[in-house]
Amino acid sequence: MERIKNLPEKLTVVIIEDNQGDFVLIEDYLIEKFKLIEVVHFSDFASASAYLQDPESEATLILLDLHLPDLGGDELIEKISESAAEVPIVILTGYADLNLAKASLQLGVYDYLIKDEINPTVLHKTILYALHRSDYINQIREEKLNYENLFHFHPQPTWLLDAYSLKIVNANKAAQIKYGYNLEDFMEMSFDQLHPEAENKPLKMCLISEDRDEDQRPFTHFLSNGSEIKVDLHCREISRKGGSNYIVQINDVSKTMEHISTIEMQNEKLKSIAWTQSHLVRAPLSRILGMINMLEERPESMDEVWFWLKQLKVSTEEMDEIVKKIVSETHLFDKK
Amino acid sequence: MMKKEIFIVDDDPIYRLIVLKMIKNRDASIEICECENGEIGLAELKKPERAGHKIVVLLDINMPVLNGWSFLEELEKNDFYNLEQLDVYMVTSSVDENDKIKAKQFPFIKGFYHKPLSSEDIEWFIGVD
Repeated sequence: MERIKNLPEKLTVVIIEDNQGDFVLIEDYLIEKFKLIEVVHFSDFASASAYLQDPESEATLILLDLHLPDLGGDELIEKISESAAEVPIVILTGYADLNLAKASLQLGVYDYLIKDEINPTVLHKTILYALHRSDYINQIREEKLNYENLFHFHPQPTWLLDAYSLKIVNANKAAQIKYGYNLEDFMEMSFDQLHPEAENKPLKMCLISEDRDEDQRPFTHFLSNGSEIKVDLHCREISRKGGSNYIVQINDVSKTMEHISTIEMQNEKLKSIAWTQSHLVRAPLSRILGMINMLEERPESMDEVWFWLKQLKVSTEEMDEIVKKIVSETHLFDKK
Repeated sequence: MMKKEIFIVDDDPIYRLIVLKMIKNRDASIEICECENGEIGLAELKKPERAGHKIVVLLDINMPVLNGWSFLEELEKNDFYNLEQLDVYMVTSSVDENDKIKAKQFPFIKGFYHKPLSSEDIEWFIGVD
């Protein structure tokens, strides 16, 4: 088993047991089976709890008798679990309390040992098994924490929704900051409330189909201050016990869309300038060139030369006006 | 030989004058009909005395009243003139490629020219028969 390898070399077993005879027996077994072991003994809840709550204290595993002079039963188990959250607990019990011991497994207890059946081998095996399991559970807990961090600190707004009602179950930090709602606000809301009503249907289609066509237009979202943003929406269905959730992530594309519309507008202007170039500038220009061709044909009289020169001037001025117009359109372009 | 006539269909009077002069400088006998727009062009074509003529049309695109394209469409739709006796040359100041592509739709368009017309172009039109 590759993943379970970091069992501590030195064990500290805390035995909470008020029966001196039982304690001595168990201590003997432990010393017999484990080379490096420290046994810490308490005979009542108060002193055990004080020890476990002290951050300086060592505890690899707790062996707990269910009847102590100052506390017993469920309450004892709960209190000890609270005092030593990640330390595996094994219950020591007699036949009389077997049902209670079995029920305690629901409370997070790792295992139980029936006192009359304890022998060194059983004890050894139980402790090793509990430690391995605890190690494994800690790994899962760490991974869960990693995934939670991944969710909470992801830079894009991300939500967890109930797949049936679309109620918001969780919202990460980025969502809270971007939308101006805190987690409590979000948890009162259903995800479709962020959208205008007209988008309810496409939103549901999008959530069901999971992946959206690239060319589909973005969705609109309202922020808490009433302003609108345009978003690309991505979602995945994830299953959980007794139902399923959607994890939904958005990408604010408002800026991008603004840029695209600016570029489109500028393209229109460019086209209009190109059209002006092609049609309006060429008209007087081609006329001027035509007149030069004409003049090269050696006009018959000075009057004719004067006539063409006058016409040249008219066309040149016309062209000047058009060029000025193009320049002013280009300025308009700069301002946008 | 058929009698030949050149139509200059263009709204720019200076352009028409230039083309007229350049043609007359080379061959003063050729008959020239100046038309300010497509509508006038069609009216001139329909005149019965032209029925047997070979007609070369130098056609502008952008004109008021009836532009070059509408002139061509009318010509295709109505039996104004025997198209076999008609050579149409588009002459435009625009350098828009779309115009060139559009011109391909009309089989009786014999050429596409950008203004100004060179002396070689003028000589070509005079030589058409």
